[in-house]
Amino acid sequence: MNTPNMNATLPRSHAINISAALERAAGRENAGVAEAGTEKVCIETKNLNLHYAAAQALFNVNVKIPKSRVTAFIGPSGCGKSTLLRCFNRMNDLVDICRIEGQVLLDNADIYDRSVKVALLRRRVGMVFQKPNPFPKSIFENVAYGLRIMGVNDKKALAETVERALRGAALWDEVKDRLDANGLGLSGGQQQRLVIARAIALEPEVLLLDEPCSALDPIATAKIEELLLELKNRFTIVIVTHNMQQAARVSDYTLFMHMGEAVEFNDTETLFTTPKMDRTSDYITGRFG
Amino acid sequence: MKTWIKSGEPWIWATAGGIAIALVAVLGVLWLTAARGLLHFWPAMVAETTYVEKDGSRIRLIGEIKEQEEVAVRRLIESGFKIESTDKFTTRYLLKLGNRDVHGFDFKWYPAPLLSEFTYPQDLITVERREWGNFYGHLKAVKENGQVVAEGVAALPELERRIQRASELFQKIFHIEKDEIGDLNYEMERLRLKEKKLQLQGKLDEPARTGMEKEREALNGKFGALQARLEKLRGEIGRDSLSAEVMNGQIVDVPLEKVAEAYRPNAMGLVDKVGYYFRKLYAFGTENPREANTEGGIFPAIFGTIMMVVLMSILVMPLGVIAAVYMREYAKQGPLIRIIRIAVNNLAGVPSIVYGVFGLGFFVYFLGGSIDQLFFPEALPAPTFGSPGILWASLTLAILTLPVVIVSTEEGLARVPRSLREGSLALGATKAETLWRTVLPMTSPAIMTGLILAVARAAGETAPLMLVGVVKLAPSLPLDGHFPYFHLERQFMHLGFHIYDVGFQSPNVEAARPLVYATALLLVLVIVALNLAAISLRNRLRETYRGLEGM
Repeated sequence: MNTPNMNATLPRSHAINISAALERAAGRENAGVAEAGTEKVCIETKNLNLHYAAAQALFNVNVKIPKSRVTAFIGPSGCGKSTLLRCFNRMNDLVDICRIEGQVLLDNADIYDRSVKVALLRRRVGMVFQKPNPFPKSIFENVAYGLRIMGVNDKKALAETVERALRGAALWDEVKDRLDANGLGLSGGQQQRLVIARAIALEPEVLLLDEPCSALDPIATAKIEELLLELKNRFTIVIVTHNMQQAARVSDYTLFMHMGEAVEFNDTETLFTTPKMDRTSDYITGRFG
Repeated sequence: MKTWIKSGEPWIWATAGGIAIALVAVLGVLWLTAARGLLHFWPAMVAETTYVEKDGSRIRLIGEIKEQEEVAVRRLIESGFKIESTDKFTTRYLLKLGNRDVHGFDFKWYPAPLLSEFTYPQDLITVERREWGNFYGHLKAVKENGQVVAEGVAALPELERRIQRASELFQKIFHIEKDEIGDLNYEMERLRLKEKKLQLQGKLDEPARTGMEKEREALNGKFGALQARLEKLRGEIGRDSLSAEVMNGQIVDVPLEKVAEAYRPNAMGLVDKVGYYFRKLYAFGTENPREANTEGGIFPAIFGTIMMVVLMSILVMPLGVIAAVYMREYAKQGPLIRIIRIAVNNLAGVPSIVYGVFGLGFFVYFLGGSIDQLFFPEALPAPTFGSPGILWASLTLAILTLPVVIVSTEEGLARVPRSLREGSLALGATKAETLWRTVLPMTSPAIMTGLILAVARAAGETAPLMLVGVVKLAPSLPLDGHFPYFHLERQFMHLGFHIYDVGFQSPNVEAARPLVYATALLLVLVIVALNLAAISLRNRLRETYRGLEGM
């Protein structure tokens, strides 16, 4: 197995990595990071291997996702970035043939532990999918869905939370007059923001986005990106993207994946300007992928 | 030619032809039943003519011309008619002569050469009787206690007035017999069962016995009073009669208590006829049958059909949906589930009479018998649920239509996109919550489609019903004013069986045939109405979950 690079990069303490990155990024305006010095870890994977029946999709992945930052997963199609993302809220459980080894820690607790209630985990780790998937219900009910499942039925509380979530997703002004309209009647970009509102209504700790803009036009994409920059103060965001420009625009940290391996993790600017691995530089310069 | 075939045009013609044939078949059925059935209610003219008997004597005929057909003269001569004619063909007429009690027959064919010209005298009356079918004749007089009170021109208005009075009395008697005495009988029976129950439990002590005796006496007192009132009304209703001259010159008295309606069809204008027509049509849909179902209305059959289908829907929906949800959502997809699925599909092909036999053996005798033993021991040996009834009929049909509902629900479940399930799960919903809040609502149009197919099949089904609850004539509806209002153990009437009964089991098939068509048309209309209701519901659901296809 050809993973020397990754092993060289990741098992070392995250903090060293970060500080090294920060030294290189000296002079950048991102004062918050500079001051923090060390980042708090939100999600950590330890020797994560994932198999779909006989085919292995993830090879010994070790990553640490920093808290309250935007982390982007990039890499060519089929490299396992979506699969890795779906490990964080146990979405892979739905696939019968999927088998997982290793650990995924959320706030230092293993989410694959027997005692973990998957439904509760998914409330803490929200997810937005590639294609907008609003429910065929009203806009209001879409956003209130998770709350109703939690057992919130108080009208006032629901209305307040729905409004806050829609404002948070920068959709409120566009839909406030038609909350009873079907969510499927919105445009693609609006639908995707509705889905984001639906997720943040539950106040999750982490928001996973699986190529959220791949089905959207550039203007809608710009809006979503703008939204992500606003949301990163409140949530830990992990975004899978095909689009390297997008990763560069929105993320603080970037993980490059290839063939099921986590090849290189670094702060975004460093990774794009001075990648350490040959595979990374080959990919970002467009030699493959 | 080859290019024409290659152009694909024959294919278009073939498909369009298929549709055309289907349309023609459907419209043909509707047209046939409508034409034959609906004309029955139009007031027919009553013709008068003379006929040459075999011995040369002439007799008078009075009746409605029901049918006419071309027939070979030779055949008529061979069968004994004395016809002198050079024509090869001639017409023969089917006359409805009525007065079954006087002549002994109702319908008869007469060849045209032996008949004189038809005339339509204005004073001929048609009397619809509650027994013995129609009566035709020249109205002569109206009598009260055997004494003539009106004759000639004055007779008809007097007759109408007195029929009105007799009808009101008849309604009163009917009400007392059916409702008030029915209520008393119901109370009596309840009392008897209560006594029996106490007896079975060994709790029938003296105070209870005297209390019940008192109640029974009170009921008997009421019953006596009703009997007296009934006696008086019966005396009153028997007061009047009409006398009329029938075709053989005899003067016949018809007591007005037997008369439902009398009118002069030959003197009626178009407006009168249209009014009469719609009145009869309405009565057909709202009244009880008379004369072994060959006359009167078919309301109990309509009611029974609809109630059975509604009950069936209520029973089959949860069963089918739950089975489909398990097979599609929870069960591990493997050979076992595949075998079950094949078995379910094959169930749809089992002949319906087999379901009837199963229903009789399992539901009626086993389940019903057990229920009787457990809950109604006081009524034994008379069965309560242990005999065919509407509940068992509905359950049998529910089993019969189960495969349809399962299959379409499964297809609906398969169509709900994975992305929506994931969306729901990602918000912290459990699988059950996802099913309940998102997947099943989105499957509802497909479930409705299954229900539509099930309703269409169930409403038209007849064979199994004969075994598990349908009867020729049910004494009371399965829904009435007595607690607990729904009497699911009762037998009921059904349009499909009614068609069979009237058309093939009736003593007077000729008279009943138009009713068969009318009933068939009504059955089709009932099915269409039930289907339209389900379809509109489905369309509303589809509207709610539109946009699904794009995902």
